[in-house]
Amino acid sequence: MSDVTANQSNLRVLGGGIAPRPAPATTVGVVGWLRENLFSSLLNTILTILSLILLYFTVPPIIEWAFLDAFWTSFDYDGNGEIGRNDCRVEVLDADGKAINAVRGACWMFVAERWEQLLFGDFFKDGSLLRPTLAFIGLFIAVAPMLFDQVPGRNVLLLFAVVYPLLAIWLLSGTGIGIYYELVYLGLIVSILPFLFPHMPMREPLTKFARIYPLLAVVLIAASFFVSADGLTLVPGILTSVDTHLWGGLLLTMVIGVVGIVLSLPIGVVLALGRRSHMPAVKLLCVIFIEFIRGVPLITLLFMASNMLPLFFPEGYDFDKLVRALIVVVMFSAAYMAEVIRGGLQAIPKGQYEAADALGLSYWKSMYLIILPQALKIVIPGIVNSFIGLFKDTTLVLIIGLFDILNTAKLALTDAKWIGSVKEAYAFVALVYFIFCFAMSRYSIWLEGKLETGHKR
Amino acid sequence: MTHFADYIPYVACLLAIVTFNNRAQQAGNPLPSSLTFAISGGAAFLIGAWIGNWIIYWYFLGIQPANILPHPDTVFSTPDWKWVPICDPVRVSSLAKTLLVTPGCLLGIACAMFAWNRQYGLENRFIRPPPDYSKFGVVAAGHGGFEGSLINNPKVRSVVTQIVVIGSVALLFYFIVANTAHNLDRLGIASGFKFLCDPARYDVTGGFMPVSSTETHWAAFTAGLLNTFVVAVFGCIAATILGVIIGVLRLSNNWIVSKLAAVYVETLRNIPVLLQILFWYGIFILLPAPRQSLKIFDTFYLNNRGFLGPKLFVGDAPVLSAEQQATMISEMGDVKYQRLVEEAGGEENVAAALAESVRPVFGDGSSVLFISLIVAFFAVWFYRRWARKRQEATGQQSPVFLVSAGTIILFPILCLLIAGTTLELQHTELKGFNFVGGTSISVSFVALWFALSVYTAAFIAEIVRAGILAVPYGQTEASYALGLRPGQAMRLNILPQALRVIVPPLTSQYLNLTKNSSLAQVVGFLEIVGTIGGITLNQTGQAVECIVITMAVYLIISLVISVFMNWYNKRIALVER
Repeated sequence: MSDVTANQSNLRVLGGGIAPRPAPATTVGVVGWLRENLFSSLLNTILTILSLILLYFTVPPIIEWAFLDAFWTSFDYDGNGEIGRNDCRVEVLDADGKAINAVRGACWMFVAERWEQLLFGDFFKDGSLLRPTLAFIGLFIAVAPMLFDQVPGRNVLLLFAVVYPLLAIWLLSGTGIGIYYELVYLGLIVSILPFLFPHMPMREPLTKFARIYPLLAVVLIAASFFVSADGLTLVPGILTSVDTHLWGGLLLTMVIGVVGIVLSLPIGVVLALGRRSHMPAVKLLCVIFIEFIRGVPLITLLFMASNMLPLFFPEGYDFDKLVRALIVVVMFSAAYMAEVIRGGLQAIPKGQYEAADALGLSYWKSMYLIILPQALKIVIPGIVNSFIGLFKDTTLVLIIGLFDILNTAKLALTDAKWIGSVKEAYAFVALVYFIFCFAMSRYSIWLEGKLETGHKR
Repeated sequence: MTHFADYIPYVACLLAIVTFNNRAQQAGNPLPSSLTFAISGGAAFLIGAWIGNWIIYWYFLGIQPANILPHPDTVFSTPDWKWVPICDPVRVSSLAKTLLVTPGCLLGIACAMFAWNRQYGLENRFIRPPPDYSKFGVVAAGHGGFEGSLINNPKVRSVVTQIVVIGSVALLFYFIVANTAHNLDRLGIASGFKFLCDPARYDVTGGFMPVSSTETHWAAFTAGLLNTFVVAVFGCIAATILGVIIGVLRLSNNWIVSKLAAVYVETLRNIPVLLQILFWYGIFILLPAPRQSLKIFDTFYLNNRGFLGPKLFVGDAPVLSAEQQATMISEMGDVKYQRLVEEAGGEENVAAALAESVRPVFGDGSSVLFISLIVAFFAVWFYRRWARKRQEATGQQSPVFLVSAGTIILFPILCLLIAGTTLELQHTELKGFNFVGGTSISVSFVALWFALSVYTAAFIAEIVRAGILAVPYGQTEASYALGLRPGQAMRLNILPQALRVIVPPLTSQYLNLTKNSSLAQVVGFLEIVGTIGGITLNQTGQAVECIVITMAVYLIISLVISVFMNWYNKRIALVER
């Protein structure tokens, strides 16, 4: 070892030596890369050839089907007065060499024709499609500042994000949520203001308001059970009301997915804390709830919601189908979320808990300020995985007869005009889900990197 | 819609609050601030109203808790016991209100206590002063006891919280049970599991245990259960094999192969499994009709009804007694009997045809197979023991794998040949519009199994990859340094260590697959959710019982799989000091 170093330094000192020769042609450039990555051994060569054969038999047909031979725009090619799958027929040769009319490529006309339904369901029957469109745009505007902290005007957008749920409910249903809840919501917005804008006028009184706001909310919510205020709402009655059974398509998927994601995280946190609580009764209840939910399939819980929930309530209580599905989806994903978060809580060293106690923080303060920020950061991948699972599970609502994007596509397939468009319909829905889920998983990887504080070796 | 009696507690509460305020003033106590007064008064108002409602219901309107729960002896013995309807809708809706208000009340009370405490500190006569520790010889406060009010005592807080939580949950349960009982009574549905003995009136086909409509709901349920098990077991096997292959390929240093595996994983796990099941079902039913089936070697047929192949019978058809034949013929009905006679080619062949129709796969004389298999297993076990001892003693290895596999496969075959047991291959044939004979697997099963397997394989692949990456490369190098061949290094060193990381998440994937098999609903494959949780529920209206059975089955499956996997995990876990 030392000899080698000595020799090298000698060469350098003498200023002579042999100039470095270029690497052999077979180890650099394209050839080198190919040799190293594709043909490094006999097994690798065989695998490469098999993969190429596989690609040859799958990729060109898929590209031909999806792009080259596909029909993209709706046009009544066969001239029978209506647009259907028959318009995508072209002359092809069958096995015996006879010319027949058949659909060769993808008939994307199907998606184009059913576009509105796939996005919004039957919303158009009672309301203008501008409303769900605005709700979608609003969602992206509301979500952007939460996802990225470099967004310009972030505070204003965050304020919008707080207002957004009320706005979305109003846009979609056309009615309010009752005066009590609206007041609770307005109070929430007012009490968030001083946190968002530290230099605003009137900050002091607003902060004071924010402090008593939780009590006010409790009183308002309690009052809503005692004093009826049917039909009283702050929302202007300029929109026609649209019943939830008309909601459908991607709209419904997003409603279930977003509500599930927003509610399951806090409930999951509470359940996880309950499971790690020192109070045996609380712990037992949380364990039973979590393990019961995790032990049964979502579909049986949905069945329970559609068949048994009406029995649980007094005669005449009628639950909206969508609300039932939402309750179940939130419960279900909260149980899984709780387990993910429990993992994070367990990973925090005991010293952190003790340090929080030593500072004299109360239980909730120590959780909120010390433990949860660290625990949640550790389990970001798990949380996002949970969100992805939830988003995929929204498809299951078709079992209880809700028309999410998958069920809308399935229904459209039963139309005589479009029979046989299975591949087109499901490929489109699959693409939609893929985009959302893949984006979520990439975001989680990005966020992990961003929050990394360099403790890793 | 409010009963006048509902107002009584509210009025009483308001009176109580006003009186309390006056008394406090007379006693010379400082008055609370208006906010504190509003909050505590409001909370007291709510809690008073809540308790008052209960008192009214129980004692004034004659509805007592004792009437709501039946006597335990009568629950299952008398078929026509009834829940006492707890109340009419008006009262129940007030009940719902009071129940929903409970958390609010409790929060209100907590706030009030907090505010009172802040206002008066220790002088508040409604909160007990701390005990005098000096008489126990404890001088400094904060050591061993608590300082300040009761509300800051962790023990008291914990007990109160638990009582509140348990109370709320118990009330919720009470509310649910009482309402369900009342609603079932109103709908005229008798509780109990008697309906399981009624005829099901629907066929369970396409699965692995056909059940006709004349059999009971219980039979349909067992068929569903079997179908669930078959999907779960075959799905887990296929998903594991495929998942391990994909996971290993993703780690390959061959660029194209690892990229292909990555594409497989990223695509399949980001698409909902329900959509995948529907997609494959949609593709498979596009196969030609039975008459134009796709043929593979003239033995296997693929069509839009299912995948068909030959069936291997081990042993002979049973010999039916005259009585058994007579019963079968009488159950069959005239039309079917005539057809049977025609197909059999005369009355004299009917006995054989009947026996053939009930011929099991393992018929008379197949016991040779089982006995020889058991013998083979024992022989292999002894051989392996002997081989290990020999290796420990002399260091010489024996060809354990080859000998074991050979014995288990060849010995039973040899025994069957010597015993002369009938081995009959029944081919499937096209008769009319359908295939008869042979083995058939329905399209819905194939679609379900395939979709579940490829979906779960994507997750398993990631688990396997993570497991292998978790073993440091130094372990591989150490194995080579010891002179092990790559295969041996993998089998003896890497895999056992990787399994420790792999097994726990793999268990949850198996559980997921089993639970996802309930999605068979959408393709009409009748497993447990389809039978007892679906058609039986809709026919009998016994929603509670059916869903309880369905959930119980899944909970038991989950429990059994996790207990088994925990046992296995413990066995292979690293034993540390």
